[in-house]
Amino acid sequence: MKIGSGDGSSSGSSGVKQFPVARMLTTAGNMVANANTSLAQHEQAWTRIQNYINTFPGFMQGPVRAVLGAYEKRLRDSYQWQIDCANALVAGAEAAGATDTQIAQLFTPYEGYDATDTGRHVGGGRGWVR
Amino acid sequence: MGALEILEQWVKPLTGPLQDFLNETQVLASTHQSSVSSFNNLVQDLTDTNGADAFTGDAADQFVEMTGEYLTSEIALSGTPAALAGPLAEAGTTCTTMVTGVGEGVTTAVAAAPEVDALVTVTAVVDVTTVAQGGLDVPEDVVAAGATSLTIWIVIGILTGLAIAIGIVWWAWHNSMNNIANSPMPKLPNKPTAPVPPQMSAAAEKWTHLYPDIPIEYIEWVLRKKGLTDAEIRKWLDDYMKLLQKYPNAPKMFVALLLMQGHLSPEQVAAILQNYTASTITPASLTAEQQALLAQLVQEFPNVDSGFLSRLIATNLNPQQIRAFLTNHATDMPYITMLYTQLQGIEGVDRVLKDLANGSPGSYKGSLYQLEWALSVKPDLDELELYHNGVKSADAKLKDGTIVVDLKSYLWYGQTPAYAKMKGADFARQLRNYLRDYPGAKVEFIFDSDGGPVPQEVKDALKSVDPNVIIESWPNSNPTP
Repeated sequence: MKIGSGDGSSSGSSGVKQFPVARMLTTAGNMVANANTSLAQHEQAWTRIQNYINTFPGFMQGPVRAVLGAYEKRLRDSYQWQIDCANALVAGAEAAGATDTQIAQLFTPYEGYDATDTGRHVGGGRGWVR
Repeated sequence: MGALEILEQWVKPLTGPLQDFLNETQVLASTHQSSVSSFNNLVQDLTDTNGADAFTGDAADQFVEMTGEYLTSEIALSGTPAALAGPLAEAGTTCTTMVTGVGEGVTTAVAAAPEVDALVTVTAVVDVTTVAQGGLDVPEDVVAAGATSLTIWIVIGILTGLAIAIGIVWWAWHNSMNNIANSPMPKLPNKPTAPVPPQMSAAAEKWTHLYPDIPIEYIEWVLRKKGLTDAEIRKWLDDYMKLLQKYPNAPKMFVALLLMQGHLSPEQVAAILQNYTASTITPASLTAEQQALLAQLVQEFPNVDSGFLSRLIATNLNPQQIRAFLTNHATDMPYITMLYTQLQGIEGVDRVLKDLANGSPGSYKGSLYQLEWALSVKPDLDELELYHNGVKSADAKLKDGTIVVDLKSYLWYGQTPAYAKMKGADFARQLRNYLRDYPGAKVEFIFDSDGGPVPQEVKDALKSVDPNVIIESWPNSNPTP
C-alpha cells in the first residue's frame, strides 16, 4: 500500500495546517472587545429609541415597541454569540497549548541521518542493487 | 396656509413619528452591521492561508463554517450598510406605507375642502389620534367649540371621511407591525464549540511547530504508520528535511512519497533524487478521438496530471480500464505520476505503464516494483519491457548489455518449500529462454526484498541452469528472514 494524498497538486504550504495558539488568543480578545463596544453602542441607542417610541400616540406605541423589542433582544443575542465564539476559540487554543506542552515533553535528542553524498551512488543507483 | 398644509399639520401627530421610524432606529442595525463586519474581518485575518501563522486545517475549516453561518444569519437580520434588511427594514416599509395611505386620505379631503377658516376651526378642536381610533364624536366637539355654520358641517363630513381612511391604513399598519414582531427572527447558529482538532491532527500540528517547513499532511502520513516511536518519527522528519536541503529542486511531495514507501533508505532516496530530471510530463500525441477521451478524463480526474492521462490513453488501454485504474489506485496516483515523470524518456516505460494499468492486481504490483527499481538504476537503464522476435521478453536491459531477466515481486513469507520449488522451475525455464535469446549476456534476477529472502530452492534452480546468474534482492539486499 503506497501512501499519498490523492491530490497530485498538494505540495509546499498549500496543505499546511496550523493551530496558532497565541494568535487565536489575540483574535479572541479582539472579538470580545468588538462585541462589548457594539453592546455599549447598542445600549445608548436603545435608550434614545425608548424616548422616540414615546413620541407615538399611545395606541401606536404597542406595535412599535413589539417590533423593536424583539429586534433589540435578538441583537443582544448576536453580540453574546460573538462573545461565546471568542470563548470557544480560547478553549480551543488552550487545549492545543496543553497538547503542545505534552508533546514537547516527549522529545529526546536524536542524531539524524546526514544525507551527504557518498559518491558510490553518483551516476546511478545500481550501487544498492548489488 | 392652504387646506393641504392645514390637514398635513393635523395628521402630523400620526405621520411624524412614522416618518422618523428608520432615522430614529436604524442605528441599531448599523451598529450591528459594523459589529458583524468587524467580527468577520477578525475571522478572515486569523484564517487567511496567505498570511503567516494562520489558523488553518480541519478545525479551522469547521470554525470558518460556523462563523460563516453566523454571518449569513446576521445579514438576514440586519442587512448590510448598503442594503438594510430584516425586521427593521420591514417595519420601516410598513410605516412608510401608512404615511402614504394617510397622505392619500389627506389629498382626497383637500379636494373637497371648502373655506380654509372652517377647516382651521374644526381641526383645532378635533384630535386626529382620536379620529384614527374611530372614537370621534365630531358634532359634540364642534358644538362645544361654538362652531355651527353650514360650512363647518361640511368640514366635519370631510374629516369623517378622512377618519375612515386613516382608520383603514392604521388597521393595516397595526396588523403588519404585529406580524413582524411575532415572526421568528433569523436563527443564530448553535452555540459555538471550541475548535479542537482530533487527537491525531493536534499531535501532527504540534510537530509542525518543530518542523514548520514540512507540510502537515506528510507529518500525518508518518503518524498514521503504527508503532513508530517518537525517535523514529523525528528521524523521518530529520531525514526529510536534510534531503530537501540537499535537493532543493526536487518536489517536496516526491521526496516525501519516496521516503514514505518505507522500503527505500534515505541513502537510496538521495540517489534517486540525484537523478531527478523532469518535473512535468510531455503529453503524448493523440488522435482526435483520444483527445476527446482526454478532455473527459481531465474533467473526471482533475487531480491527475493531464500529461500522464494522455500517456495512459496512448497505451491503447480501453477507457473502462483507464477509468478503473485511476479510480482503484487514486491514492497511489501522485506517486505513480512522479515515478513516471522521471522515467518518461526511457524506451519501454509506456509498456510498463500499460501493464500497470491493465486491471490485473498481480501485474499492478509487479509493474510498480519495476518502475521503482527502474528509477533507482535510471542512469544505467537502457530499455524496459523488451520484446524478442515480437514476443514479450526480459523486463529490462542495462546500458552495459546486462539483461535483467526478471524483476520478481513475490511474497515468500509463509510459503512452502514445494511452492518455492515450483516457482524455481518456472524461473529456470525463463532463464534458459533468455540465455538462448541473448547469447553471451549477463543475466540478473532481482527479487522484491519486501517479500522476504529468496528461497534456497529458487536459487538452486537458477544456478543449475547458469552458475553465473546474478540473484539479488532489492531495495534491501538482505531481507529479514
